[in-house]
This record gives sequence, structure tokens and C-alpha cells, in this order.
Amino acid sequence: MMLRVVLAGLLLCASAGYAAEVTVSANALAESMRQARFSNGFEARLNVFVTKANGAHPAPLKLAVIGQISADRQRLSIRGIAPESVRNRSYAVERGSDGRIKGVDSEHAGFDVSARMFDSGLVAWDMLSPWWGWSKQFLEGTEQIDGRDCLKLRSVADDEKSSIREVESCVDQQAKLSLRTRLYDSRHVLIRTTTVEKVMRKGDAGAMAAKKLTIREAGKMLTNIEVYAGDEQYEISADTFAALDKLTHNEQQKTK
Amino acid sequence: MNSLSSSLPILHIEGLNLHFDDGQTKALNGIDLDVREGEFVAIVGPSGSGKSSLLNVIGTLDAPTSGELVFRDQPYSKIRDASLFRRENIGFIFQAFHLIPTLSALDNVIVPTIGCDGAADDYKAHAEALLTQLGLRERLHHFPGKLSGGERQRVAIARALINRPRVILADEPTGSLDSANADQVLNLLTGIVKQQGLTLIMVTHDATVSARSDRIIYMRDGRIEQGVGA
Amino acid sequence: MNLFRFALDNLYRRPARTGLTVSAIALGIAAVVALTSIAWGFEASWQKANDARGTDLIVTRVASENTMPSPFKAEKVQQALAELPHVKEVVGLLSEMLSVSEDAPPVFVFGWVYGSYLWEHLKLVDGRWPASREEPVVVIGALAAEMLHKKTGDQVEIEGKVFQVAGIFESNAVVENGALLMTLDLAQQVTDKPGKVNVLNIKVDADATEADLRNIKEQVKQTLPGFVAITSGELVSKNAVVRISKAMSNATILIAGLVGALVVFNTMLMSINERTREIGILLALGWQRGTIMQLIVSEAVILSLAGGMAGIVMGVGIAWGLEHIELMRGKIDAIFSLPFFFSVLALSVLLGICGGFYPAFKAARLLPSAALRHE
Repeated sequence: MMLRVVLAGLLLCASAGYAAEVTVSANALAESMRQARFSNGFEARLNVFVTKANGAHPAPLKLAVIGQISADRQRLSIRGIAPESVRNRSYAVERGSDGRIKGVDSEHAGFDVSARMFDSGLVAWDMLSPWWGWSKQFLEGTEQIDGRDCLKLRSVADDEKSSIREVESCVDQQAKLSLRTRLYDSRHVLIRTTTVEKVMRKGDAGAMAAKKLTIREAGKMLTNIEVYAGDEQYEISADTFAALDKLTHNEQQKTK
Repeated sequence: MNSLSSSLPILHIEGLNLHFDDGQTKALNGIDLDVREGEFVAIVGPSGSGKSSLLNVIGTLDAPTSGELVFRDQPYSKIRDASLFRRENIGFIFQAFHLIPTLSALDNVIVPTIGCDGAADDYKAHAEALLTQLGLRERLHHFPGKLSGGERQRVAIARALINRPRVILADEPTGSLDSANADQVLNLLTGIVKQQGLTLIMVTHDATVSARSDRIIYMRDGRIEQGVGA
Repeated sequence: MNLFRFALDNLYRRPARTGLTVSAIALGIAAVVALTSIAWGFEASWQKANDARGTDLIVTRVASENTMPSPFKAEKVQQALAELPHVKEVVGLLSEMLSVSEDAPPVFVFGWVYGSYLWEHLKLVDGRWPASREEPVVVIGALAAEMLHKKTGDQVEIEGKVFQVAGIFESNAVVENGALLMTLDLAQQVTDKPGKVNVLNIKVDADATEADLRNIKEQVKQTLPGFVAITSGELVSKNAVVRISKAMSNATILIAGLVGALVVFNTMLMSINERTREIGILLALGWQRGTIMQLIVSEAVILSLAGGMAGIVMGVGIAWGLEHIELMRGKIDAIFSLPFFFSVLALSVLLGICGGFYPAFKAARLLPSAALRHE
């Protein structure tokens, strides 16, 4: 179950964990969401259904997401399983303790972590949900989404060059799940909204996991994601993030 | 009538009161009456004089406010199960027949025996015999809707007789019939009553009916005004 | 003419009302029959699958409440279990619900240790079994073959990898009949769970007694923290889907019972209000209050029993229909039995009695003279 929650955290800027106190400060809430995402290793398998702005439906995708998240380093690998066109295409992304995000694709080339992957609404930057670590956090009251109460939290980017400058989450505190996450640019234009469509109960402490999510983009593209399988105690092997390690190595060489 | 006058009272009523609304309405007010076994008593009087109320109290459908009623040797106050008492001793006939529309003539007659000990076949045979005696041999399986008023009342008479009661209480049994049918029904009823030695207490407005009784009781304002032996 | 016939006649008197009441009860009972039979069938099917494999005990992670328990590294646990007394064989099993065709709903994909006893209860109806633990082939259940339109020699794509169908098998458990089966090694590769299993199946030797099984369970509890050894029945009863479906069926029984009783209550109350004068006549004719009660309760019971019988037929139909719709095929196996039908009929009778009791009591309490005056 942890797996699905962690995945939900990555995709949704929400994460699993134990219920925090009902009354919390904005920073404490963000921090608890950040910490709840820590994992030694997980794997999740997703069905991804894309509806393009013109209403076209490309073939559904099957993707595998592998992740390892600690206080000072977050690493994700996103690999295509099916159909044939995405098979063996993969992206790896890392966020270090300095907050710098870097990515490498299966062609061993760097890629824009803010860009869409697999022609879907999935964006590596969102999956890392760096906003939980930002220092400017503001609580903005409560809301109800699909009958569930949530706390509205506005996170403002520390880095003024960040393409996403503001993130507005609505966190179900008990479930440790952001039921809706809105991403805005520097002109406060809404870029993407991620919404939890279906949740499932975790075995412990009332925490809920997202089973189905929707990413709606300003460009009208809609991405429906369903978690269908996975492993919450995935063993990260030496070659899981080999591409990232190689990238780091090359960078170090260049620095020297 | 001499034989009647010598027979014992089947019903003894003394100081009978029936009050409603905390005594504000006095339906029966100090009734004293003896009815002898086999007697045909007609109760007459204006509407609201208490005729039907008296019939209801005699038939244990209403409990008296005070007074003594004795059926044979049994005081009403000692009757534990009024339904059982009615079933064993009383047969009711109503002005509006009150047959059950979904049951045939035969089944309507059998209805009072439901829940009684005894063989269903015996009750059925008895019901058929009664209906035959009342001239309805050909109408056993007709439903009330297909019977004339006179025929319906004859079915009601058979129903009143099915449990072999000792007393028949008839509340204006000919009130809904034309004179020819009324005459026929009355002949049949009195004939059977006489034949079986039953006691008949009948409420009626019809002077020709009351004229055929052994005794007429006149009621007004809940009291018996005058008793005349026929 | 008897009480029963009289009660029936009274119901015939208002055919529309009687029909509507019976229909309402039938719908409720149908829901009870369909959901309960599916819930029980679901549980029985899983149990049958485990029992048929000849597994005596199953070892899983504690608090595994999903359809399949969460995966874990098998090696060390397997070794520890093999050393326990009376343990003859310890075999791993990996299972996932995966979609293997765009036209068909997801199916179970099982990975079983090649050459283990798990395979023995299956009957091969076409083709052959995998020839080695690495051979990239699958065998598929007869129902899955039908659903996926696959035959021996065809190819299936599972999680982006293509496998040839080596054969088709039959099992007496619908869960297995609707599944794809491969060796554990292949299943671990394809789902990226190297060395992992969902459950370890323990087969004990012929000398093992119930006490020995209890002893193994106790040893697992003490020596393998985080793991639990249970019988297949215990595993199935802990299964979240089984628990949810049972809870749903119980809730349906409760709601249908309550609604059914209320419908009967309402109908009988209307009926006695209409028949007040008639009840007065029956009382005047010497009917005892108990007989009046019997009549009204009989009418209520006839209504609910008729609804119950119609509901059983409808419920069986619904369950059958659900079993045969594409989305559900191979996943449910509704179970019906005579005792179950009798229980449903008993439930119907009970709700008839409950719904009919107060109206009957009210009717029996009528004053005959007042009832006769009723317009």
C-alpha cells in the first residue's frame, strides 16, 4: 500500500504517512508531506490514458515508475512498458540536497524536467514535488473536494527563475493526500491541475492512497492515470539509476 | 305461546346501562328484559333509541357500563372469551348483509368456522345443507356480486346458523329488501328458527315484521317503554 | 375454505397492490441472493484454488489485506520454513492482476515454481506444460483462453514482453480457470520483482497432525517477525475483497430486510384500514383475536414468501448474468445451495412476520362494534 501512496505523492504532490495534528502551521504541514514520501525503494505500474485537446485518444500507455527518496536525494526512473512505441524509452531524474534537478533519458541525453514525458501529462518535475521543501508556505483555509475536507496550502517558489512559481494544494490531513494540486507560473497563470479521482484505504492510521488521478493541462490535454500494480519495497539495483550515476560522473569529470 | 311462557329465560337482563363519552351519551339506560328460549322478540323504536346498542351488548360486541346480563346460567361478567361465546351461542344477521365479496356463497357461510376445531368437510356439508334449505342450492358457488339482495341475505342467514348458535341477533334483516324479498327472507328465517328452536331477537322498523314476533319491545331514548306479548 | 385460502383471496382482491409489494420484496431479495452468492462464491473459489493445490499452510506478510498479499523476498523465509518440523515442501507463488489485451479486462497472472506440486492439480486440455523454468511460454486457463480469444501457439504480451501460449489447462477453481500461468522465474522477471513472492505455500508430510500445523504457525510467529502462517481459509477470510463483498452482502441483507418489512408493514396497514368493517364482521361472527392475527400475518408472510421466491429466481438470474458479462467472467463464481435458498425464504418469512405483526396486532385490537360502524 505504501507504494501507491508514495506514487500518489509523486504524481499528486501528495504522500502517505501518519496523520499529523489537525491544527498545524503551513511549514509543518509541508514538511510532514515531504517526510512522508521517504522510501528506500518502490515500484509502481501505471495505466495512462491520454485525451488530447482535439479529443483524440492515443493508444493507452503502461509505465513503470521506480523511486528512491531520502531527505537529501530523490531519484526517479520512469520506463515505458507498452505499447511498442514507448517500450525501452525511459527517463531518470534526480533532485539533490542543493535542490538542483537533473534528468537523463534513454538516449543518455539530458532532458527538460519540466516537459511532458511520453506525450502525456506526466512531468518529472511534478513527480518530484519539490514544493514541499520550499520555505514559503501559506495556509489558506479549508475546502471540501468530493465530500472530503482538505486544507488549502499555497507554496511559493524560492527560486524566482522556476517555471512553476506557485503551487496550491488541498491536503487531506488525515489521509496525507493532496486531493487537488494546481500549478501556476510567474504570471499566476494556471498550468496544470492534478486531481485524485479514486482513493483506496490504507491498512493503517486512516491514510488513503490515490488509485486514480487526473492531470488536466491548460492546453486542454487530459491524462488519466490508474495504478494497477507495484512493489512498495522494491530493491533498487546497481543499474536502476546507472544513467544518472553516469551523468553525475561526467559532470564531475567536466568540473575537474 | 303458552309453551314459551312456561320456558326458562335464555337471557336475563337487569339494570343494563351503556354510556359513552363519560356518561354524557346514554345509549342504554336501565334496561330490564327477560327473553325466553325459542322466543321471537322484535325490538322497535325510532332511530337512536338504542335498539342496535342493545343488540350489540347482548351479542357481546359492546361491554355494558353497568347492569347484569345472564345467558342461561352464565353471567356475562364471567365470560372470559367473548369471541368464543359469540361463536358458540350467537348468530348475527346485518341489514347490509356484510358478505365478503371475494368469497363464494358457500365460502361466505364457512368463514365463521375458520379457526374452529372440527372437520372442514363437516362444516362444508353443513353449509351446503343450510344454503339448500334456504333455496340456494344452485347458487353455492356464486359470488355476492352475482346474487340478488334477497339471496345475499339468505347467505347471511346461513352464515349466522353455521356454528349452530342458540340465539340469532338480526339487525333490520329486511331493511334493504323489497317487500317480496323481505317476506320471503322473513319466512325462511322464522321457519328455520322455529324448526331448530332458536331464540330470535330482531331489530326492525317494519310493522309487518314485528307483527309476526312473539313479543315486541318498544324502545325510546335508551329505555324500554312497553313490552307486549304477541 | 381455510385460513390460508382466505388470506390468499384477500391478497387477490388488490392485485396491483399485491403485485407491487411482491415486486418490491423480490427486488430486495434478488439483491441479497445475487450479492451473497457472489460473495460466498468468491471466497469459496479462492479457497478451492488453495485447497486444490494441496497447500496446508500459507505464509504471507502480516496485515496483507489486498486481493493478493504484498510481495516479499522469498529466499530467507523459505529456508527458515523448510527447516521446521513436518514441512515437506515450501513453494513460492507470485500473482498480479494485469491487462494482457486491450479488448479484455485484466486477468490474474500467476507465477508458480517450475516443477512444484502446485501444478499437479491442473488438467492440461491442449498443448503442453512449460519445458523449463526459463522457457518464455505461458499456459492459460480455459476461461481465460476463451475471454482472450487465444489458443495454443498464439502469442500474448504481458507487461511489454511477448510469450507463446504453450497450452491450455482446466482447474476446478474459477480463479485459476480465468488466469494465465507461467513459471515463477518468468513472473518475477516480467513484473520486476526478482526473488519475490506474494505467498509461500507449505505442504506438510503425511504424519503431520493438526497440532503440528498449529506448532508451525506458532514457530512462524515467533521466529519470522512480520510474517504469519495461516490456512487458506484464514487467508481468504482476511482478503479485503472477500471482506468487502461479505460486508456488502450483509449490508444488503440488512437494508433489504428493513425495506421489505417496511413495504409489508405499509401494505398490511393499508389493507387492514380498508378492511376495518370486515374485520369487525369476522369478530362479530365469532372469530377470535388470535385468528385475526393469524390471518393478517399469513397475508404478510404469503406476500413476502412470494417476493422471496420471485427474488431467488431474479437473484440467480442476476448472478448468472454477472458471471457471463465480459468484465466479470472468470472472476466470480456464484454459489447457490438448497440451505441458502431456504435461508433466504426464512428471511422472507421473517420480514413478513415483522412487517405484518403490528398491523395484525392493530386489527386484532379493533372493537367489533366500532369496526362495524366504520365507514
